[in-house]
Amino acid sequence: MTRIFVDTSALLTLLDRADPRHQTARATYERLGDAELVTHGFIVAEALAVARRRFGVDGAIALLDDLLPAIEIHAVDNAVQTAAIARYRAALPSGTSFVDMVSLEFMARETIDTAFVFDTDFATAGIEVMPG
Amino acid sequence: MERTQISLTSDQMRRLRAEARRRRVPIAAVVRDAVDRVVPIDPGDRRARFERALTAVGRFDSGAGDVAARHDEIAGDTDW
Repeated sequence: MTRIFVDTSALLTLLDRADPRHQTARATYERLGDAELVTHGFIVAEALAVARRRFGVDGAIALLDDLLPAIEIHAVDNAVQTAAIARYRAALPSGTSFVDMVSLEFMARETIDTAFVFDTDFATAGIEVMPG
Repeated sequence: MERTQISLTSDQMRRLRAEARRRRVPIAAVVRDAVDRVVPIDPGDRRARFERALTAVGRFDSGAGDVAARHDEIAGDTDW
């Protein structure tokens, strides 16, 4: 089964019908019904914080009760966190977020090569992105 | 997470350690991955969760439509 990493940007674009990329996100998600969707705890924390802020309690509930149960959520272990800190420190001028660095390290260790994401930092890092 | 104890042959343990080193992950992570591959989540359950997730797609209207694009900035202004 194909494993696909799910980024914060994809979760928020799915929720927000006003986002100009929403229909593209929906179409992409609808094609992923047979894939194994994977993310990590920092993405959950980030998505919840933003959804709560912009969509209110109902936004957080939609993530917790509806979207996230369809995704396998991994804890960020010490090895991933330590390597991500080193990546972030080394690339600090680039502006890539720490959560993105955790995601890139997590994907490398889990040998996941494709991400459902609306963030150019992933493609720049050589990740295959959906939608392309 | 639930804890368990298993017995492996020396050769299985050698291969398990080698794969964990290759992936640079704990041995337990390789075991969990192997379990998911051999005993996958029931397809019906997976489909039900996927269908439920679809009900949340497009549920909100941010107005500006910039929440995902600006999520790093919004997260920075938010109490976590």
